[in-house]
Amino acid sequence: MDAVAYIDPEIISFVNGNLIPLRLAAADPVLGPKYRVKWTPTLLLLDADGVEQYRTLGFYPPKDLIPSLLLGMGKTCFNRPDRPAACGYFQRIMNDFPKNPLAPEAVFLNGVSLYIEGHDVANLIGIYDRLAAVYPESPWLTRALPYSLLKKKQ
Amino acid sequence: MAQIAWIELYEVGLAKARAENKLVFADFFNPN
Repeated sequence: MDAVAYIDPEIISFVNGNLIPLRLAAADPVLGPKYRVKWTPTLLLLDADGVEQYRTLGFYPPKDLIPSLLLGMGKTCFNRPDRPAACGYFQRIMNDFPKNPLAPEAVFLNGVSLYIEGHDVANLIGIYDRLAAVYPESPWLTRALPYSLLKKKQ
Repeated sequence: MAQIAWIELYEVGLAKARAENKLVFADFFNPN
């Protein structure tokens, strides 16, 4: 990560501007076990209480790291729950990184967030339709399959 | 040259996160 991702100007700007970057040795005798670190790099998003909100394992190239962090930030908001803020992160992935492998998950979670907020089934149907049109090979299309049945009920 | 402003003390990182209302991006790395 040091040689590639962490020297990328966009990564530096994003991390410094949006997060609190914390560097810890995986072999730390307290924090390693506390966060179940078994391999490196292990990347976590923690809240201010130190509670893990998101985890990735393994190398991320610069083009994939920002979408991953956005997904983690969105999931954190989703779980608080602050769904409007979550949608902001998910929609940024959808709009700015549509070809990223995480984009279909962002489509799914954005639609779910909108449905929870407004109880409009069109948002669930929209998940399926968008995934079917843009990401037909994604496993997230399978997860959205039940929403396609809602069309018949409208 | 700009670089990531890493914090290397856990409690300092959490306190900064609380003060700035941000999440901590924790990189557990192998220094060897």
